[in-house]
Amino acid sequence: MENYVGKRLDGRYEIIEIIDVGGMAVVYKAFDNIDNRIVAVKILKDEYLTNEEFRRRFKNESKAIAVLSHPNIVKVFDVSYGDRLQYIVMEYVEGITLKEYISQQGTIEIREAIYFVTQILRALQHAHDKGIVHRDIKPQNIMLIADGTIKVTDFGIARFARSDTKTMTDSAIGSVHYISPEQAKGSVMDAKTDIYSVGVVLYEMLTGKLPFQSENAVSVALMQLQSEPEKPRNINPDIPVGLEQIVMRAMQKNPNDRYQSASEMLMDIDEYKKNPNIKFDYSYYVDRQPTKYIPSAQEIAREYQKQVSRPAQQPTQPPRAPRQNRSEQEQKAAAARKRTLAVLAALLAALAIFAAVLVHLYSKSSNRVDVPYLVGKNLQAEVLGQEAYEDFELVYEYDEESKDEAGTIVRQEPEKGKVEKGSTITLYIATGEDEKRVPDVYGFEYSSAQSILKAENFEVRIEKEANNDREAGTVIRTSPARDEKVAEGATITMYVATADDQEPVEVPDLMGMTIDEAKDALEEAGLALDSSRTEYRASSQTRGQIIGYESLGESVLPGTKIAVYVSTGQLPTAATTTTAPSTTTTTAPSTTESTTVTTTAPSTTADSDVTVSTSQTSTTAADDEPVLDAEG
Amino acid sequence: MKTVGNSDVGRVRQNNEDAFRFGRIDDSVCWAVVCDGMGGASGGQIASTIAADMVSKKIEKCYNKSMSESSIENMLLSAITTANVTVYDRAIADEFLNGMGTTIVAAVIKNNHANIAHVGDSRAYLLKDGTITQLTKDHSLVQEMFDQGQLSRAELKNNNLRNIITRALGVSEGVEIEFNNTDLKKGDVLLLCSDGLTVEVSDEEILKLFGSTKFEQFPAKLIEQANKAGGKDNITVVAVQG
Repeated sequence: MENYVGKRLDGRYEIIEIIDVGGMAVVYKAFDNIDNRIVAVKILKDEYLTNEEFRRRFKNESKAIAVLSHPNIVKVFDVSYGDRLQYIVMEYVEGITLKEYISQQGTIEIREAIYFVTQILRALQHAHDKGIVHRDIKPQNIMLIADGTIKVTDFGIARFARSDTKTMTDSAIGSVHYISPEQAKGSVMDAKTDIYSVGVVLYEMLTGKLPFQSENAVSVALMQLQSEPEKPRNINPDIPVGLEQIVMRAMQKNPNDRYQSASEMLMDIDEYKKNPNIKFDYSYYVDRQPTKYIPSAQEIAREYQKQVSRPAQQPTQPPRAPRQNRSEQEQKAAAARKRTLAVLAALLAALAIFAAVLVHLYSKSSNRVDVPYLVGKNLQAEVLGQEAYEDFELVYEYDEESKDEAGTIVRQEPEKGKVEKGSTITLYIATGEDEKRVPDVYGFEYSSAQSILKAENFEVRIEKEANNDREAGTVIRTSPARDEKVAEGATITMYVATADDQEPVEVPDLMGMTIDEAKDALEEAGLALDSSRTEYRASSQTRGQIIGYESLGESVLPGTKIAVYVSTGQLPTAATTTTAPSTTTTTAPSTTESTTVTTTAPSTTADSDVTVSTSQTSTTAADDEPVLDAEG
Repeated sequence: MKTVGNSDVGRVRQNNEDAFRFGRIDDSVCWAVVCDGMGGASGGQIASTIAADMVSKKIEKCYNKSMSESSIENMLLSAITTANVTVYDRAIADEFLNGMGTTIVAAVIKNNHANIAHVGDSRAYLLKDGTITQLTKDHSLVQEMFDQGQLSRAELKNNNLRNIITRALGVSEGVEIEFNNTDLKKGDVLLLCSDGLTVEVSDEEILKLFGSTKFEQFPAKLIEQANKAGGKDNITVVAVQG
């Protein structure tokens, strides 16, 4: 692999100097002479250049990464998959890595640590929403700019090949400190893997130490699997309990015990920010409650507290007084007639007992309550924490199919009837339509843009639009616009700059020409003959000659179709009409009818040094892989 | 004694970063070296070549027939440490070569006895009496995890950390070399290989192929098998028969 310093890629990126040499790529600082800015260019080692599978995966991944557009993620501007060269053009970030900052500072002040981790989590949520897991979150991959902005870098690109590339533990050690147990084992990795790594980063910032430290890199990996980290507060007692709980939850060995998403962790951090004295109710026994769309952690904590601290339900006793009074009265009345009424008294006493039993039975049944009808209510606003529903054990299930607004209760079991107090009611809650952000494809070549949008499960419509400032075939804008939130599966219209030069052209003089000649003349001028509207008119001129045409003497937009009027060669008589008998081709004086002019097919070049030419035809149906090899 | 060796770029990689050498000193003495390069922008081709060259030259120059087993080991130690320093110096001198390194497995066979030295995850195997034994232990993260009972044998195979090695030449000033030795009776085969073989071909399959292939074809056959199974990495095999 050659050193590209001093060279220019695709005539556009002028390589200035080496920034970093890694296992898979060399990163250079370069100048983009089209957008006039400094960029970072990551040139992949030609290790895998000839491997089809690698190139395909790289292509797909880099397209996916290019869609990531977030202030806390290093932006990918361009990706090139040429035959000889594969490179990625990224935002050039002027700053230091979080790793360097931590080693400079020792411990990071709590507020600052929160500020950093919040940004990291936002970046991750953005990526996770797009189905991208970073898998290598560590302070070396997190850039810190002078103003405190965090930029996460090195998402996915070329990562999948990493397991085939030999690395020394010392290079890998950086990762080993932050890898999740499931990564160490080689199990499935998902968003929760990133959460674990963020937990370690937060741990490190707050305590100044890594949770698992050893001289021996290998021991670290083992510790990730088996050891419990020392509690942060043991190292630094200034760390508030709630914050420690957040770190520990993110670092749970079992992914199911961690925060299930970056947003979830952010929620807790928000709660903590509002109240630094907060104590979360986390215990790591089996927690069956689904965590998606959970009412705020506060709500859950409150709910949990209530259920735990509620005293055992007692059947409500009817007031005792009447019975007592009655028996007293009975006794007083019977006092005079003691003997004879002793039996009566006994009988009455028996009755009283019987009554008591009845009463007791009655009170037992008053332990039953009506099932409240909650369908249609909003869980958060109208049900949770409401006293009216305290008698029930609410269980939540989520209904993803429902079109109702998120948080609405769409179904419940049981729906009605009487149940024992404390019974379970299962509530089915609508998760709402998934919303997604429209990817930013402005400026992208239209077929790549289309693939990107389709990859997000959007429907795509293409509208051509005249635009002088944009390169033909590129996307001018989309509707809805980039970064807007739309429902999943929505249709997005891409406005693509048309290829034609938009300067109006003069319609050439076609008088006296034959249809064929006129067709040629029009095409030469960038126009076209609209043969479906050719009119035949009576005229003394030679048959087949053009005696008139649309927009005579005018200037029209290129591509416009011009209709011509052709002489029949005969002046009008009573028997003939001005128009030729029907529009069938056989009777017309012209020879062949041709279809409308088509623009040229897309040309492709395999040479990465030549700037790409773009397709001018309208959409190709299901084209996920642009034909073009080199994309400028 | 016969020696034969072969190397192939595999089916996925662009370049072959493995290097191998072998030679015979006299009728009863021969040697072999296999190196698997890594890192640096040029991918370790330079590292593996330097190491293979240096160690082979050192063996050829320094060997003398009065050498005892411990002298042979010292010779290997000296050769490999020199190679380490040479690669390391080159790596730090040129920013483009930063981080390059290589594994090594080297053997000197004298009078039906082999002395083997290795750093990294390139291996030496003994094929004898219908059995196959791995003589060297990989210096890799997953091997250590396995040794400590944290990974099962199955988890070893496709682990995504399997590429992380704990020792290599050229990555630091010092290097820790591991030594093994074995008898190599008539008919036995000592096999040196890079992991490009063993990630694709199991020990059992190696043994099976050995039983059905002429010795001279053995490395080529193994490479063919590895390529059939995917050829994800460069494959290098050197076989010495007693």
